[in-house]
Amino acid sequence: MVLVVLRRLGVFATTVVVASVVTFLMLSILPGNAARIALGVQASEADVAAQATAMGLDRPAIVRYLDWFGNVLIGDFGTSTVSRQAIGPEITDALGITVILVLTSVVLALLFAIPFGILTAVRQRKPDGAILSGISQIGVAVPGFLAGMLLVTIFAVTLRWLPAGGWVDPGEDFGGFIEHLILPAIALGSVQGAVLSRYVRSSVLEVMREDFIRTARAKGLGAGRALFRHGLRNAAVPVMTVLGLQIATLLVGAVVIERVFSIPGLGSLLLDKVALRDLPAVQGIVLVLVVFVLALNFLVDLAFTLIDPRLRSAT
Amino acid sequence: MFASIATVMVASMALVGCSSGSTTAGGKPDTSLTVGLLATPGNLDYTTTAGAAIPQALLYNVYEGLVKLDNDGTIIPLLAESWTVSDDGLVYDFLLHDGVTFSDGSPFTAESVKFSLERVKDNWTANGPAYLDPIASIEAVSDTEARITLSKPSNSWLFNMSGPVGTMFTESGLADLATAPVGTGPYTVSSFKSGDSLVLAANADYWGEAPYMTGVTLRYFTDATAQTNALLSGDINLISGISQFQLVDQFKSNPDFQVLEGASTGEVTLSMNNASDAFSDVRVRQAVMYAIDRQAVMDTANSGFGLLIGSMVPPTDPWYDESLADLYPYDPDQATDLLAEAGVSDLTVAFKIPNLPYAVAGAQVVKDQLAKVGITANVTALEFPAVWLDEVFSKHDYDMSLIMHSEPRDVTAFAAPTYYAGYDSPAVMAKFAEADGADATSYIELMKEATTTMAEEAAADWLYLQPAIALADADLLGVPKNTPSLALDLSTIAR
Amino acid sequence: MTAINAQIPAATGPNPARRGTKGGGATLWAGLVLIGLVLLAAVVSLWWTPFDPEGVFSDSILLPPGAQHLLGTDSFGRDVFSSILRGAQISLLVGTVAVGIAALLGVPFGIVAGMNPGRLDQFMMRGNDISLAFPALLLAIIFGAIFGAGTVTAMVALGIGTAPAFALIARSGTMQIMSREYVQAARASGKSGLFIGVRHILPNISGMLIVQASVSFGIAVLAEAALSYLGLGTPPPTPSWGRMLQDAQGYLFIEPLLIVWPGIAIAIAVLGFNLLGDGLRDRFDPKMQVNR
Repeated sequence: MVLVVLRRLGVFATTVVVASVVTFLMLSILPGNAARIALGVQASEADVAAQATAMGLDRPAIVRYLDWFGNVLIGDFGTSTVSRQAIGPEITDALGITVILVLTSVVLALLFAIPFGILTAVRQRKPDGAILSGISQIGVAVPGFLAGMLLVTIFAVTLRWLPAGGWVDPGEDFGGFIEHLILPAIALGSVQGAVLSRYVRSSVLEVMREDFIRTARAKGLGAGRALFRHGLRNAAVPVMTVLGLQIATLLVGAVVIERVFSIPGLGSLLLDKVALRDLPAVQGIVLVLVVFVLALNFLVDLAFTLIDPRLRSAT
Repeated sequence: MFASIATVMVASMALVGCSSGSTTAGGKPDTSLTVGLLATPGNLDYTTTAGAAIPQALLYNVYEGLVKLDNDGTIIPLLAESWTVSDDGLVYDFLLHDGVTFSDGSPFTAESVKFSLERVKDNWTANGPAYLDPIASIEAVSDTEARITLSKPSNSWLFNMSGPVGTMFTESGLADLATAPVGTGPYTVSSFKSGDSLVLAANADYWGEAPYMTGVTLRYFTDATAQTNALLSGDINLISGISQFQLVDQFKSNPDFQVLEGASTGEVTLSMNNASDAFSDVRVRQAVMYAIDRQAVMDTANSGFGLLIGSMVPPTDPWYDESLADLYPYDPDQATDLLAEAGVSDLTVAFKIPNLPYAVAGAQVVKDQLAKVGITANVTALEFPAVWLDEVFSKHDYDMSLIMHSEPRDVTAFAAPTYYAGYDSPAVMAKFAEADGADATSYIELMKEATTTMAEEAAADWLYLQPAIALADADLLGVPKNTPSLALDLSTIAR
Repeated sequence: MTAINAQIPAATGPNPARRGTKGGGATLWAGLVLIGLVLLAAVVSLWWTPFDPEGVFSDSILLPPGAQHLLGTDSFGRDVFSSILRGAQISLLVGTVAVGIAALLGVPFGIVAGMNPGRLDQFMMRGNDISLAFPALLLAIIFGAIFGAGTVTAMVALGIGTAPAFALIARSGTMQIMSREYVQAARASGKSGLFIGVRHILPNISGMLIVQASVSFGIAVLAEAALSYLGLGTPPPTPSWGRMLQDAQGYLFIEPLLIVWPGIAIAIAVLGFNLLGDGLRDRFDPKMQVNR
């Protein structure tokens, strides 16, 4: 058992190293001169060259990689070439914001998707079930940022109930924090909710055909009660898998909603830093995003392995 | 004006109880202000970091120089109470305000002047350290008297002193320029988060008149729609310099807001690479001038906002010549003739624009109009600033571009042969040099001659001057209308 | 926002309830009709649109819908209906190329992994995990900075970002087929791996791949819109629904309908491909469905 976990951990560590190399190589061919951007249009070519040396841009790639990744391993993401501050805290702040936003939206999505998905599954042969299912299909087909724009227009600009954007730290002003969170979380959650409800629906349908439900129904339990008593736990497994993947990819996927609502999350930070060619920061952000996904997959995988011993030899 | 604003103010207060633009419950005036801006500063050090965003936030608010530009573009005293200039134009004697301190408590004296200006040459890498090249020596005569001697007379020097390079620093305040600036201004920085906000608090020990607004938050947006939405929903009180003018109309009809239209120094320029094969012939450049219907470009790409200028000179400069706007009327036939005369047919040009909304919109209209005279423009939108600066600005690898030049009095820089426009006229350069050393009247005359020559030789097609439009809560008073300098001067704003 | 789903195989989930019936019927047809509409718009606009969707018409700016301009005109005086028709081309192009790249990269990768259980499979799947960790949107942002933003960059990023999903599906399908008797027989008779892969496996997993392709297509259309919103999509003047949405945002208070038309167009296309995917899923053998 311990051996299995250790081996998995070893594989995980290797994938992280490979991912860091991929990240570094991919970003090392970014065009645009960070030194020129820092100094602006009036600076001379000589000044720009000196600045590039000062920024360490002229060292060999392998040296820059080892220097960077070695420091990352001890928790030092380096210094931003633009803000001249440590990058680590900048990333943690932005990551915190995005994680709050994503988790809130996922909770909202689940609150919507579970009852909605079950309802559409249970009522699937009835007209109302078909209509509800159709609604969720349309929900999947609407771009999330369009939902965001419409929410802003209605609730912020026209009704002036909620702010149109921005972010307030929960420690600073909790009420303000909630006010600023509502619209973006709904915008992000509505589309996710529609997607998830499709999964809930099909999982429930799958489970409802299983023998134990049939037996329960044969014993005289209603479809709903049979489902609630026996089926939902089984239906939850594939939904949870999808959910894990969604959370992981939403970290960068939330960038569009962050842009609509001017939220300084990780995706926005990435776009800003790419625009400024702040290479150490971009590398750090991409690595954090990638490792986050790898770690999440690793944990999900590990959890399944520990729960279901049959999987230990497979995958 | 005042009466109408007051009426509107009462009405808006009744209507919009929740907006921050109203008086607080206790009847005390609300002295907090939130301003929405585009383009965030990456850090707060404009001595080594380029871009208009840092001076916009800090100049005149946190940092001050000996002189400043008022809203009409006139040089007025700031830390200098007054000054005299010797007859030969070489020696400037500044009388400094007494009892001024920096926000870290250290005193401002003539030694600070010497320290700050001497530091520019060695330590500044951005925002034009060369502007101070005319200085030969700086002398602290007494605590309140500074004498600056120039190596040659310069008309532009004092003007440039009103910009970032003229900023006064204290040695003890240089430790963390990137996040904790120390100046003599009416505000201090209380927090800064790049990409999000910069919070300013009134400097309790300010030497001059205390500003009305005691707390100002500058919030940064990535697009103009989010910015106007924030104003409409009451999140912010003021937008200085809206960039997408189709968003303005909804405010004109809304009594909760005021729309202030002023002059900027932003010339939206269709630049032609004078050194490229395509545009080295002046006739081809002139053909482009005739082929472009500037009014149509402005109407379509800028919702009709702007001023046709025809040269790189805004009306706020003394050598502005309004007749240049009509130098090249829209005349496609003339354009075709000029192209034929130059022996050019089937001209295809690489039209590399920055991926900014006004440029993307303008380029589509320009491309369409050029096609009508047989010029094919292949439009590529390059990422701004990174790729555009690299390819077009540094490497001159382009035929045509479209970008706004927003620095004040940037026409002299534009004429330099090494500049990206590739315009090479020794006569114009000589005239600019002569102008800088001339007396006040000849200065204006010579500047006018040089800039007119540039327009006649079609060094570029200056499409129009971007207006400076501020959108504000109706109850705000003293919002700066024009943007003659890079600074957003907050000290005059009140409710 | 939308590119996220690219990571999740079979975004709309299996629909096993209809198993055993004829399968898919109404859903399939509804999907085909909607896609047919989009295809029709794309094909017709190759030769004909009511007005030129790429020109500039200063005298007809922001007209409301009417007899001449069915859906009105935009800020450049362009006929919105013409732009919507022409925009279908970009959407279909982005979808086709992105899904094509994803399938070309992912399917052979997945089949090879599935046919070689053990170390090679392990190794390849760890590689797949790494590429899964670079979602399409992240790739699009990075590629946009490296190669310049544009349709091609967006298509390639979406294609590469979607490939791991195809690889997973192809792999698990392959593993199921490998245990079948005829594959075992072919192996025993000494047929090469390539032969078995092309002759036995690919045809047998094509059903689930088509389902995945259909769903990925819808996701690509949404992703193109999201990328255009971020300024990483199709550059003007070529009409793209995503960019039309973004442009319309600035005119929301002047001409709100401008945001409605491209929104509807996107929804039709995405809905069409999702319904088609659902319908096909019901039609093909449901046992082939995989939930990762």
